[in-house]
Amino acid sequence: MNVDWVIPCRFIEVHDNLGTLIGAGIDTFWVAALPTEIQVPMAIRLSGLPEELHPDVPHAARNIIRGPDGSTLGDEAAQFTIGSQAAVERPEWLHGVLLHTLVGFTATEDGTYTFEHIVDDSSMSVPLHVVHGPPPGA
Amino acid sequence: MQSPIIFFDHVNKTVTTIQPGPAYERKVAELAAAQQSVTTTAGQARRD
Repeated sequence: MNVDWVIPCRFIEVHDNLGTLIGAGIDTFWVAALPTEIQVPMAIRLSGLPEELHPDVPHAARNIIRGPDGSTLGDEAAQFTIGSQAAVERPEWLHGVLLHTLVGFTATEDGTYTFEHIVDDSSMSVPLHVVHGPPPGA
Repeated sequence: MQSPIIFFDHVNKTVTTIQPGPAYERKVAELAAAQQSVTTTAGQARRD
């Protein structure tokens, strides 16, 4: 299984493997006080061979957050399966899956936090900034 | 084909997997309401 991309969003909805991404590409959270709890939806595109997408095949998902100083703030993991029993018309093709994740963490200081998503043996990291103060134009 | 919602909760150090179904739809509705509560922007990434 490969992690093709990870996109932080304001909101995600996935039905029939099609995603509705709202606020896709956010990179900065403006907060009035610190520490504060933040939840950020992240859309993850996975690709794999048809046999990897069978509902009986478990996959390992892991999420690691690193703070502005590079220290690990959280490292959580779980197993999941993908509910596909549809007939495969192109067994030699890679098949894509859109995974809806939600990451909750406590931001304790101003700075850039790094979110690493690992699925099986593939990983991708995205940065998000937390700024203590009013947003531009406020 | 449908994948679950996976909630990595680093505050409470838990992971919740919500399979498609009524609980999945309730969580999506909850997230839709919550998105209004924090200010987010894009395109002003720091140079560091």
